[in-house]
Amino acid sequence: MADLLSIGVSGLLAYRRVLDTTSNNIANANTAGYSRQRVELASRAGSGSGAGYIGGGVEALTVQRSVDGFIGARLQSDASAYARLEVLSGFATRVDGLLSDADAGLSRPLQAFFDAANALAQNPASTSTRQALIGSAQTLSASFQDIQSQLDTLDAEINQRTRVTVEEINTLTRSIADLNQRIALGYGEFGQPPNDLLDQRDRLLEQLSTHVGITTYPQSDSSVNVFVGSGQTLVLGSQASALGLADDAFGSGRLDIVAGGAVITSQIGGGTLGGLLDARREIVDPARAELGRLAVGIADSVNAQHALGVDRYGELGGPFFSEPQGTSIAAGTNTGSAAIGVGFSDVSQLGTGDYELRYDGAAWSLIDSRSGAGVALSGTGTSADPLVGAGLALVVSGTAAAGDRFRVQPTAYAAGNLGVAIADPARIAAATPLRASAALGNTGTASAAVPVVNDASNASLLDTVEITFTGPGSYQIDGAGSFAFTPGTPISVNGWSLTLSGVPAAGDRFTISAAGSDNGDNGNAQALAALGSRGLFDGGSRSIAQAQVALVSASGLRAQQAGLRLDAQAAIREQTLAERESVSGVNLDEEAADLIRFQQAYQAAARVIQVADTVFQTLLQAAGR
Amino acid sequence: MTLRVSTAQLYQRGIELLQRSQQDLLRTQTQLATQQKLLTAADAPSDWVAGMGIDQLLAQTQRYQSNARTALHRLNLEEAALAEADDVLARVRELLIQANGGSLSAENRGAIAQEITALRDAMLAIANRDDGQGAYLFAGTRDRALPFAWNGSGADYGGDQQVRRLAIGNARSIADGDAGSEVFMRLRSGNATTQVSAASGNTGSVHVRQSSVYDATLYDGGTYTIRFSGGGYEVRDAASTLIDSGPYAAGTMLRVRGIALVLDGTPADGDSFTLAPAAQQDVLALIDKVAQLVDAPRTTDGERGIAQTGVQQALAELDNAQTHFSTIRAGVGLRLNAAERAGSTLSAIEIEAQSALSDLRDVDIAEAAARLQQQLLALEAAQASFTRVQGLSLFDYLR
Repeated sequence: MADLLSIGVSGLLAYRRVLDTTSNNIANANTAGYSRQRVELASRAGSGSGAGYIGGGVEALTVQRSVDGFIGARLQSDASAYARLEVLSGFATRVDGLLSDADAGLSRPLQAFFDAANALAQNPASTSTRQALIGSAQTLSASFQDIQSQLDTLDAEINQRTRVTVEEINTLTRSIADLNQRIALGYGEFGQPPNDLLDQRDRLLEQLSTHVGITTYPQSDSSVNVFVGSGQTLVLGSQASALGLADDAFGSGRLDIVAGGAVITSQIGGGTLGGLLDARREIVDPARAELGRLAVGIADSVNAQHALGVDRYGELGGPFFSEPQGTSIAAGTNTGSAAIGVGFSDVSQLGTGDYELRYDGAAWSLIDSRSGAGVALSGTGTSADPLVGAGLALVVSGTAAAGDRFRVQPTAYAAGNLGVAIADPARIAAATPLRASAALGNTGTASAAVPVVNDASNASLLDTVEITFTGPGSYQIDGAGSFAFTPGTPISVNGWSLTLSGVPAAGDRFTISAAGSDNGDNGNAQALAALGSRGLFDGGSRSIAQAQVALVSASGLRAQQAGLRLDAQAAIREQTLAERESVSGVNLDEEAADLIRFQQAYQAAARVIQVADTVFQTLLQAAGR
Repeated sequence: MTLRVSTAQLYQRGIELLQRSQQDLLRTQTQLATQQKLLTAADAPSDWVAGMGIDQLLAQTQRYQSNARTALHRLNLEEAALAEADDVLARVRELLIQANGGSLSAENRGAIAQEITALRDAMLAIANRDDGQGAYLFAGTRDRALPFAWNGSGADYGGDQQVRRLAIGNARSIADGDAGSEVFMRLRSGNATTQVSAASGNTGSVHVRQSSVYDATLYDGGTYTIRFSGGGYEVRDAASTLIDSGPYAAGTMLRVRGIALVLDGTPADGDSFTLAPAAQQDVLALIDKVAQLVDAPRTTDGERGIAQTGVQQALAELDNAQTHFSTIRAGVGLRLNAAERAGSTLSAIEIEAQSALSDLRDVDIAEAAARLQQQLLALEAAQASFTRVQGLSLFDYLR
């Protein structure tokens, strides 16, 4: 009887606990990170007698979370990968949008510039076509500057978000360390798992892994140790170590991640932080360097061609664009006073990477930052004889000390300082500088082509030269000397060369003179208009137009790839999430069924007590008679 | 193991599916609204790159087309000017022949000479014609200053010998004009190899009826004098060395160093002709010479003989000039032709490029509209199923 009562009471107590847990599940059906809980029931040991063992009822052993630690670990790595790709894809899409955009991109301004140069070739004397060329050049340089500033903004945003992310990581690691301590205490107090704290810690670990890739090691005291990068501690038991931020070695404004005094930027992978660092390296830096190289190429080739023509004043063309300069930053550890001016010697050799310039006390060396390979350098570094290598012309000012280092970024910021150097429309050098004229009395059949300028820097280039033939095979220059003439071979004087076709007669004269002012020639304008499709970059294999297409297509490809990888990672993460939900999620229908089941069990147990009571009453009545 | 489904997951997935349907819908809607299949390079990098390449081809093609149009305009103007110049020369020739008809009085010839002088001014006006935008047609590249001026005996040329070229294709360009020096100057006098002039003191009626080159290789570029005395002639070179001599009869053909001269009329003793290498002259000087020739007195035998030689030479020179103009006009015609052909080729390329671009970029409206319909249907279905699924709960049966 007493057994009957105690068995019934044990059922009531156990099912009460089960019903509580089920209600808790129902209440937390929409709580993020909540794991379904189950009460583990066990039969109590029975009491033996000659008639066999009578069971002692039921007892609730513990309340258990249903979790799978392996799924949890996968969720963390999935979250890291997803968050990284989300950031990467976000930046890639923005750069792609910026460069692909018909209004903001470079396609239209670039085409408009060459259209204007072509219009100038049609009507070289017109001030309005000249004005239009300057206008389109200004639009072009403004487009370059706009894109540069947008990319600079992205770079600044990366820095800003890095700062915020590191702060969030530090907050999370402190909370995790705190939870480690409370969980250990919770276990110690009742010898039972503090389920809600465990859920909370899992959730924080998952959050932490969206910020940065981590590895976790559960300890025997049920705390979890967290490591980042290649083993730098974030959480050790109840101790959290904060990540720090520091300016990079060159003080370039970029942030390095520091853990325990060591720079670990290059070891960070995954998570928002990894995504930000990768976005800078894979998206923003290449786009800026390529954009800058395009700007340098345009300025350099247009200026070089412009210098070969003469303007409306009859003077040789000056710079059309202000030539962009590269940037160099001295390392904070430098002891010398040297600064490096970064110019360009040969655009066709120019790459898109950064370099490090080092001084060992006697010689300079240039190292490709990406590959670590040395670049051959010539020259001494003076402005007359700059250090020349990789298409760069480096000028050292001040005095360098042994061990000094400089980061050279040839084109990263170049697009921002592309400007139009010409304001006066008449200063556009549309005409070829020299004229050949055959004397009207010439009796031979020779006719002269336009003299070709080979060396615009020749001081006597624009001097008038008279070529007088003393016979079909010999000529004099300015009435002096006697030179052999071979038909088809150009005559070269003063930095120009002249090709004659036909056969000259004795006494025939050709005068080569400067084009002079107010000239309606279009030779140089035509050459300017054709620059867009002339091989320039990468050893002359890629034209300005092609380089611009490559810039857009590279960023488009990066965005497409990042997007595809993000989609793939999303699917993987979804699958893992579904698996976790399958193990840990609350299904209300299931809980409703449980509710019914355990309510019935509870009612049955109550009925057992009632039966015990009836049995007891029956006994009392029998005894009372 | 069957996968358990949690209630929160069911809800979350339902929402995600709705979101995805709406993203697809938005994309299709944007494509339909912008008529563009590709919104950024990331949509299809290779198509985007191909599109940009065609864009550049198109821009280049339009540049060439515009150049071809400009060249056509200028060459048409030049062609018209040359046609007029040709007419002027033909009229001068006509007047010269008319004036040479023996019956005209000195006054009549004076009037003709005046007309010829007026034609010289007309020729000057043609040479100084501009393109309507302030650029002179025949000034080479110094086309903002008046190229030709009459200095009393010939033309002064202020332009240069350069021509502007315009690109009408890859590595293909045409000159949009000809320098005035090459059009109106550089005309050869006489028969283009040699010129014959009668000495101004000739008193006989002897004159040159014809001068031609029968073997250009024999001519050494020297100056020769033909002198008559006693019914015979002598040919001497510049050093007075006797080259040839013989008896003279009207109609005699002299052969001097590859040049055949047919002489007519009666020489007086001491009459002479000079055979010299052809000189360069300009067309204005030529017309002026013709005017003076027409206006010259023709009263004595000597004057008539000198005039006849002059007329014979002038006619040859006018022929030369007309040939010269025809040659230049033919060149202009060829370039006009080239510009037109380039224009039509470029149009074909443009149409081709436009259609390729359209294939790459334009959205297929029918396909996109059908897709929109399909996506709308899918979204509606997702919404309907979401409400149905969310409406189901076992708790509804717990009473």
